[in-house]
Amino acid sequence: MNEVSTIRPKKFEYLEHTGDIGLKIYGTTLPELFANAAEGFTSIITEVEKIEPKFRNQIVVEANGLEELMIRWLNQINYLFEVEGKLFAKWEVCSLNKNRLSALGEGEDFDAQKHPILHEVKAATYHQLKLEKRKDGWFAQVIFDL
Amino acid sequence: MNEIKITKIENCIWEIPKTGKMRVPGRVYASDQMMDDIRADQSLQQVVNVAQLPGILLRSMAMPDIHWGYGFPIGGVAAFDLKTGIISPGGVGYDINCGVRLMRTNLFRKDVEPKVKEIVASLFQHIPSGVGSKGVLKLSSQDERSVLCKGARWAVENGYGDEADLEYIEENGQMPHADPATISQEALKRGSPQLGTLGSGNHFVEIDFVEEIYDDKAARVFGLAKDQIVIIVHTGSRGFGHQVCDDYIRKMLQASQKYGIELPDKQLCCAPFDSPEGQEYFAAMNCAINYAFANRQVISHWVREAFVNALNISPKEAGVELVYELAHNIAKLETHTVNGKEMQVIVHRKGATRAFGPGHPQVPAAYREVGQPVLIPGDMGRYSYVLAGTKKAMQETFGSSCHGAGRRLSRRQAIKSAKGRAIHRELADRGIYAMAASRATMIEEIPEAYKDVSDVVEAVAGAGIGKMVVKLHPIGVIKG
Repeated sequence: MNEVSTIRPKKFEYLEHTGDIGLKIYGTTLPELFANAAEGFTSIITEVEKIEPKFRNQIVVEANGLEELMIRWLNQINYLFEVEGKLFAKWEVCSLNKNRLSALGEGEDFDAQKHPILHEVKAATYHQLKLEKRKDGWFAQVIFDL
Repeated sequence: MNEIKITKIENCIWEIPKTGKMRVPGRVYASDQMMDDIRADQSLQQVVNVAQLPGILLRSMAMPDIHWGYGFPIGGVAAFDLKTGIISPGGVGYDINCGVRLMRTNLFRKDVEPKVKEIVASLFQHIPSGVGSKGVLKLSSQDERSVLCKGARWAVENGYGDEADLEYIEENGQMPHADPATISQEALKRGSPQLGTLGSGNHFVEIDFVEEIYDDKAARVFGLAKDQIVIIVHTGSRGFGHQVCDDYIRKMLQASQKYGIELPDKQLCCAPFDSPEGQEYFAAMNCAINYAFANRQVISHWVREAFVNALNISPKEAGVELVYELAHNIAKLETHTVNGKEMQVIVHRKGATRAFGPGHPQVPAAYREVGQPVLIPGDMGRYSYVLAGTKKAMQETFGSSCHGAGRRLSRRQAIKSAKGRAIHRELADRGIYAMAASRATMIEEIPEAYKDVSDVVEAVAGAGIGKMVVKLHPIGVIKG
């Protein structure tokens, strides 16, 4: 069982919430923030280190503004898992502006024997959502409904 | 967060006075002791936030199982005027029409306890559960549309259960005003493989016996006797509902701007009920409500099969019949008396249940004398309760009551507390046989992660918004 705790404090950390779970996400650049958010999110579903890069997938997400783009991005990754059974170990954000993100993911098909399931995530929510530039880089906070 | 002023006005009733941008006061139903836990999280702020929404009637309420949600608090109830008020996906939640059903049987403890392992294994085998679980039903897109319009009736028409079941489901298991044209392709794709699946987290099927009777007459009316075996099913609209909520929160963020609605929290985004956006969400949400009604009806059919197969008895001998089913996460048109005037309102219940009192025409005829059954599941290790709705709930809470124990520990705290413990064995020592699709679920759902549901129920009874009927004791459970 993967301990839900601060595994990689530089990329993301977990946030206490009575019913659900949240992430505080850090990135030196905006593309890095989005990539780290994806990794943090995937770590809520399963053990990321057990996902091998067997295929590559390009996705494009569009939204009205960066905050909404973050939520759409994470919910799209959840959709790919739930509907297409795809898990991603790593994402490279190829292009990003406040309304559109294009990214290349590396991962493999979900295998119940290999990938222990930690949580079913209903959605990334807009509750207490934050995405801001700070002195030392970018910061986001997202709370998930489990 | 701690500076929110809250005053006790009656036994188990607290008020947050109307200040700042609040349009109405807040009201929380809780015992003195529970209030300490409640103050520790951010749920009171959420009661205040909901009180700021346009067209809210009387008060922003929270039931005793209140805890920090997203947007509305879990346990939140608010009704809005149809002309000046709003409808909000954040007031319903992602698991639209997550709900609970109670079934009675002709069986008693002595018949079932020696075979409980077989029954639990049979339930586990019959009912797909766990993360991303896919059902054995393969819905065509035409079937799925039919599910969205007909709800539990679709299930009955397709051989899952009986016509008689429908009478004992809130709204008879089918909401009108459901329009599949309002549903995205993504939602349809998430929904089609998941009908007839339990899912994960706090969803479960549980076998209980009636441990204690508080109200002989109401228990008799509900068909419940001491030591009788009953079954609780708790699940919702699965990925279909999650996607509908996500799709419409995005639309409502824009609608809130368009209509100039100031939002204390983005998750409370909304549109006037009487607007194209409000009506579109209402039609989509009703589709998800119907999906969940159908889901529980299909699962109940398999519960019946599991009992019959495991005990090798006839369906008639098993006698698995519906006591009642109700919704936890919902927004509905209902008629209530507001300031002495009868009017139609849109009631949001987020982690709260309908609890209509005696004499209400929407309570099934067989129960009308005592009020609607209100089912309050506790954690998997202790007990659950059946209550009856009251006239006071009709007057005070738009006919609403609590929905469960409510979490006390965060998941991380639960994991810490469960470290090094054999949860299955602890439960077995208490006479409860459990099977779960995932170990993580068992750990996060440990009994002490929840408030003691008896505190919640006593606060409900103490405030007079529900009447205790029976207490149930678990003996077997399957979890996702």
